[in-house]
Parts: sequence; C-alpha cells; structure tokens
Amino acid sequence: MTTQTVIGRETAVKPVPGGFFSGHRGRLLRENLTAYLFLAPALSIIFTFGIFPILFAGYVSLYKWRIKQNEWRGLTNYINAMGDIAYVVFFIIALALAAIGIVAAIKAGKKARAKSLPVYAPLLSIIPGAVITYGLVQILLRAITFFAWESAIEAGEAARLGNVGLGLLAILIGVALSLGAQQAQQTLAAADGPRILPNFTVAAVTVLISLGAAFLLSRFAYNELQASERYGLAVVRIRYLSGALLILAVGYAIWQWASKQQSNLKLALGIVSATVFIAGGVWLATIWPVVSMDSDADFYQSLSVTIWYSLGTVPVQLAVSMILAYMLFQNIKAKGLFRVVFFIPYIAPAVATAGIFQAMFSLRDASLGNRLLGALGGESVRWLQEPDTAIAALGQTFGIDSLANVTLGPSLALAVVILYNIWVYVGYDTVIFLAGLGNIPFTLYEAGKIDGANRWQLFRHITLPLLSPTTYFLSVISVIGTFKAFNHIYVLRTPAAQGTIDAASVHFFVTFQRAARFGYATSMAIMLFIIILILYLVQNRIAARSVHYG
Amino acid sequence: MAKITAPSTRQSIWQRINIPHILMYGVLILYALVSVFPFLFMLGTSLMTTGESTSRTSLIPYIPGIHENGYKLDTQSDITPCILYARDTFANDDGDLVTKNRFIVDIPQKALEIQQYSNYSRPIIESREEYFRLPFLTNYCAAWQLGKLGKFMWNSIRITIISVTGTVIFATLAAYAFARMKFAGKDLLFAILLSTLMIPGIVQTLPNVILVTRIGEIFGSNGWFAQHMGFSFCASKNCWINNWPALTIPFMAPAISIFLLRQHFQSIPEELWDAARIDGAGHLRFLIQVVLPISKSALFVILLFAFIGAWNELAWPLLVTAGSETWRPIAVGLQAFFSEEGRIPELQMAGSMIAILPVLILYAITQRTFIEGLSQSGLKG
Repeated sequence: MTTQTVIGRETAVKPVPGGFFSGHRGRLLRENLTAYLFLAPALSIIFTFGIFPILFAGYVSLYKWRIKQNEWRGLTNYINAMGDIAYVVFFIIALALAAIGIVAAIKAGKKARAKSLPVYAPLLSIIPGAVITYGLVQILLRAITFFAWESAIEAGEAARLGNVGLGLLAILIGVALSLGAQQAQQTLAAADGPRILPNFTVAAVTVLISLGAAFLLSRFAYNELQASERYGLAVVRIRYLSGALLILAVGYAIWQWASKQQSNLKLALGIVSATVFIAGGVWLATIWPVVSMDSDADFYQSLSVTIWYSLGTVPVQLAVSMILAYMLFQNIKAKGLFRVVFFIPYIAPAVATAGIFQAMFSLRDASLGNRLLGALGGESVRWLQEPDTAIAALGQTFGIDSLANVTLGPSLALAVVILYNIWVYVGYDTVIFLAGLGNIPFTLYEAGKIDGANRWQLFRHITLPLLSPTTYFLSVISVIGTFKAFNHIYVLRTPAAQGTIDAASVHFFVTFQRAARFGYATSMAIMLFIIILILYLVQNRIAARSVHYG
Repeated sequence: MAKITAPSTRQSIWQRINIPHILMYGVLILYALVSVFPFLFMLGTSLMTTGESTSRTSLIPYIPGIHENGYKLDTQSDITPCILYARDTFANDDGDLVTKNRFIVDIPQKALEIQQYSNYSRPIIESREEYFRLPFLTNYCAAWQLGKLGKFMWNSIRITIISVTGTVIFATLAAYAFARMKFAGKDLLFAILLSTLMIPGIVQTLPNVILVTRIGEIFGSNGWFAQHMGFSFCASKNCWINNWPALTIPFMAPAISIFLLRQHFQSIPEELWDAARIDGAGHLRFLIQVVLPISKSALFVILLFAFIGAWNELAWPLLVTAGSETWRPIAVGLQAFFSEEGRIPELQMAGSMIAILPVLILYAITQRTFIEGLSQSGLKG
C-alpha cells in the first residue's frame, strides 16, 4: 500500500515532460480514449442491432424483398398498405421535416444575434455543413448497402453504393472547413463582441439533412402519384382527406387560442372549436371508407385490433391495479404475501400461461369458459375461434337477438386476449402503484384529515393527483406494450379467428415470416414506428398539462 | 368490576372489526385467487387423461379411492408409470445387447395407442427389472419426450449463460463509463441509449434478421472471412443463424441493464474512487476490484433479465432458429409443441407446467429481488 502511494505521488510531482498524455490536455484526451474504449463493445452492439436496423428497415421497405432483394419499388409498399392516404401522410411528414430544418435555421440565426454577429453569418457554415453531410451520406449508404444482397448489387438493383474512404475524407475536409468558417465569422463579429464564437456546423448539418429528406420524400411521393394507375381518383381522395384534416387542425387552433382568452370568450370559442371538431370528425368518418379503398385491409385490421386491444386492456388494468394497490397500502396484514401472489402471472413465461388460457377458452363444451357460460344459462361459444364481436357472440348465446348484428368492438377471440393481458399485467401495475403510493408524503394525509376530509376526499384530492406521474408512466408503458404484444397473441391465434386477434406486431411478423414479404413487412413496421412516435409526442403533451409532479 | 370491564372489551371488539377492512381482505383474497386459479387449472388438467380433460366436469383429476363414481378410469392403462429406475437389457446403436441400470422417461405403450402420438417411436427393450416407479406423471413424460422440452430448456440455459457473460462485461464497462467518466458526447450518447427503450421491437426485429443473416454469411465456411483469412469459425454456410451468436450477441448490451447499472454505480461514494486513485489504481482496476464486488445485487438483477429474456423471447428465436433445433429455446419449443400435438389439453398443460416450474422455483427463492428487479424494467413482450 505505502509503496504504491509513494509511486503515485512521485509521478504526480514529476510528470514526464513532453509526453503525449501529460498535462491537462493529455489527461483529458486519455480520459476520453479510455471512456470510448469502455463504451466501444456496448455502443457497437446498440448501434448495429438497435439503431441501424431502423435506417436499414427504411432501405428494405423501398424494395420488393422476398428473402432476397428484388427490384426497387420506391414508396409503393407504403401506398399498397395505406392506400391513397399515404400521400397525405408523406406530405405531413415532409412538412414536419421541413419544419425541423427551418426551426434549426432560425435558432442558429438567433444565436448569432445573441453573440452580436449579423444574422446571416451562420450561412457561411453551409459550406462545411454540406461537405460533412455528403460524407455522412456516403458512409451511411455504404453501411446500408453492405447488407444488400450481392446478386442485387451485381444486377444493379441495389441503390447507389457509398464509399467509406470518400466519406471520411469529406468529413475531415468538412471539419477543417468549419474551423475556417469559424475564423471567417469572427471577422464579421463586432469589435466589442465576445471572443469565443459558437460553431454553426452542427446546425447547418441538421438543416441540410432535414430539408434534404423533406425534399426527397416529397419528390418520391410526387413521382409515385404521377405514375399511379389511379391518378385522378387519388387526387380526389387526397383533396377530401386533406380537407378533413384541415378542419380538425382549425378546430385545434381555435381551441388553443381559446385557452388563452378570458372566461366568457373562452367558453364561446370552446363551443365553436368543439363544433368544428365534431364536423371534421363526422366528415372524416363519412369519407373514410372511400379514401381508404385500394389499401391493404389486413393492415388496417391489424391497427384497429391494436386499438381495441389498447382500449380494452389499459383502462381496466390501471383501474384494477390502482384499487388493489390502494388497498394493500392500508394497514393490511400479509401485504408482502399478496404482492408475491399478484406478481406470479407476470413472472410466468408468456407462452406457457397463454397455453393455459388456450385450454381454458377452447371451443369444447367442457372447456372452462363454456362451463361458466352454461352455469349462467348460455350456450357454448367458440371463444378463441370466434371472429364475431364479443357483444354479438355473447348476446347470441344468452338469446338477445338484438345484439347479434353489432359489429363494433373487439371480437370474442380478442376479448379473451384482453382478459389474458389484464390478468398478466395487474400484478406488475400494482407493484408500481405501491411504489408510487409510498412516495406520497404522509403529512399531506394528516393535513387533509385535520381539514375534515373523509376517505374518498383524501383519495380524490391527494392520492389521485399525486399518483398521476405513476399513472402516466404506466399508461405509456401499457400502450406501447400493446403495440409490442407478441408472445401470447402468437400462441393464442387460430386461423378460425380470421386475424381478429392479430395485433400490429403479430401481423407484421406473419407477413415477414410466413409470407416472406420482407420489404412489405418492414414498411408496415416503419409505419407503426411513426404512429408510436406521434402517440408518444401526443401523450407527452397531454401529460404536460395533467400530470402533477411533486 | 365485571360490569365495568364488560362494555370496554365489547367496544374494543367492535373497534377491531372494521367493516371496510374485512371488505378489503375479501377483495384482495378474491384477486389472489384469480391470480393463481389458472395455475391450479393447469396443475389439475395436467394430471388428467384425455377422456377426463375433454369431458370431465370437475377441475380435480381422478384420484383412486376418492373418486369412486363418475368417470371411471382404467387404472391399468391410464395411469401407467413413466419414470422408473430399472435394470434394462436393450440393443444399443451398434446393435449389441447391453444391460444397464438407468432412469427412464418413457411413454407407456397404452398411452401411445390411445393418443396416437405422431412422431414418437418407442425404444425396444429385451427385458426389464424395475426398482421403483413414479405413477401419475404420464402426461409429463409424454410432453417431456414429445416436445423435447428437456433439450430446449437446456438450450435456454446455455443461451442465458452466454448472454449473461457478455452482458456483464459489456454493460458493466459501458455503465461505468457513463457513471464515472467525463467524455465528449456523453449526454447525447446516453439520450440515444434511453431512446432505444421506446422503439417497438418489431421495427428492429425484422431488419435484424437480414443483418444477422448477412453477418453470419460473412463468417461462414465460404464467406468473406474464410476467403481472406483462410479459416472460418464454423463448418456451416452461416455462422450466426441457427447458432448461438444470433441468439445472444444482439442482446449483450441491453439499454435497461446499462441504465440500471449506471444508477447503481453513481450511488457509490466518490471517496472510494479517490482512495483507489491515490493507491495508484486506474479505472479498470477500480472497476474490477472495488465496484463489482459491491454491486452483486445489481448484477443479479441483470442476470434475472437475461434469464427471463431467454426463457420468454419468442419472435426473434422463431426467426433465427427456424432451420435447426440445436439452439432453439424453450419458448419456441413449447409453442411448436402446442401447435403440433393437436391441442390435447392435458399434454399442453403438462408442457406449460414443465416450462413454468423452473421460473416459479427461482421466483419462490428470490421473490423480493425478482419483483423489484422486474418492476424497474417493464420487460416482457
């Protein structure tokens, strides 16, 4: 120990003069190098199998790709799945990309002004930005086409190959140029301005990439539309759909504006915006069957299954687990035991527990579900093999004929899946809620009791609002979970259910594995990714208003 | 005296009997029953015969001596021993007769005839001298043999071991760098890491199949690597598909494990690092000799994640082990067993029981760690 200390002190006192890693700068460099050495394996795995696949999925989705890469199809896969709605979606995405670029440009301008530079100064950074963007695109293209099929490359079917060397060279030149640009910008600065200037290269790269992507996407979509066999029809549909979306957007804008007004005007404007919303919604609902024609019905079915699945599971699951957690949080004996028991369905392997539900809800007369129905006075139903809606099927067994034609709602098969999902996740949610309840300061309850609040009031005005971060977290996790749901659905699905329990992930998987339509399946997966991204942003926005932290 | 004390005790009894409390216990016990009921159903059904499981109106299987009326069993054929310890004389692979003491998991001939198991041929035995037998487990033996569940379970364990080894090395290094070191781009990289948690798995799974196929080909017997380096890592054309790399390497740096480890490493007091540095230790030495020994609980949680992942994961192994059983994990094996055996309830339930049991045992031993670890992740697809 002591000798080591002495050695350590000696090196500290007498640093090797002129060494590469000595001095403050050298130490910094060494720390950086060690850190990246530590990170290298994990980062390479995460980038290769976690992030790069998304870009690669974009590439695959542009091809007809059946096990092996076939011919280039452009955006056709997307249009086949979504129908002519796709054009509107592309337009909105291109708009969003352009908005990102413009916002970045405006931010750079503002930053320049804050540093007492002329607003146009960041424009100079476009030159290094363009060079670096070129380099990045080259490297990315090479990485993507590295995984393309050799035969496809030879046949000229794979898109342009990138060049890593050229890319790296471009990035090096770009970095050098950016330093030059920084120097040049400094000469533009006012004499009394700050010495250290910001570097606008990153902003320039962002602007170039997002604007370029927006341009490419809209050009692709436009070409696709021009070449479409149903050009005239598509234009009419696009017009209708954008009209409906515009109305909804106007309604939202009025509502936003209303929330900033005084109370009377707010009310009036609120009514106006509600009316506009309803009108837009009704219009959208009436034109939907027309605009969504010529699309892949299975794709939309998988989405609607997912939505019913979410609607069926998340609220029930959260309500039940919140009640259970609230009860467990009271002075209850054997609290730990209850927690352990509630958690069992969650830890058990999903394939095995789904197997149990398969046996419990089989179409046999002696299956548990049918015996239960029999005890209630109904006839046997086909449970997991029943594509009719749950309301209709159950109504029929109990002899309520008026319900027999209900087509709204999840199928009976999906209802079983929903039941399974609730059974599995209540335990997990209860544990999380219990942790959330434990974080609420006890003094608040005391204060409430002194003010004469009863048990319900305490729950309503203290527990519920202070638990909202937990509720929000769980609702995000659960909604995303329903989009991810795979194992149990894959076990429980039967051909007889006619795809009424195939939620998004399962449908894409089956398209990929059974039908071997790689390009088409990945294009659908990318659409799901975009939907989840939008949902996440919306959920975030709602949460910002209604979640109380602390 | 008694007159004075009586009302006070009565009052205390009334105070103790709290109606809302009883109601709460009622609800909690009811839900506890809901939680375990399917497992009881599984246990009951797994011990039945085909006739019972498809037509019996009770959840409890036939037990000789208890159930005397109702469904009548042929005790000779239905409840046949299937695990035994015996001295067998049989022909081995070369055709020679051997005599051996051995444990046997066997499907009774009668059960084979009744249930018409498709792809199972009974080994021929010349003579047998039984030492002991385990009755009532016919279905378990059938599921074990027909579903090859033992093999698939062993595969899952192998996969867990490999991916845990990788995860512990890679995730620990990365988490340590995020927790303790200063470097350029740290916040950005960490944000990217966390954002990967939000990506729906299917978006990565589908293209990853193509990536992994191509990578496997590069290292395969006549791939790029073999052509340029003169040797290859495996004999087959593709080194990753139907092999352990595809099942483990992409999962060796799970973002959630890195995140949890980082949280744990950050809670280690700064003084320890100062002391270690004064003693002349570098980052790696500090990590191995100081940090890891005091992070056993966090490492155990990571092991748990890998175990649950290997035991549960279905979509990915379905895609990458489609061609061979050598590395097929239990979830895929069980799923295939469910769909192959024509949905015979008691076999299905026996198979489920076999797959659930190891997890339940592990859970019973370490329930606290299990609950706390898993509730940090929101794992399970």
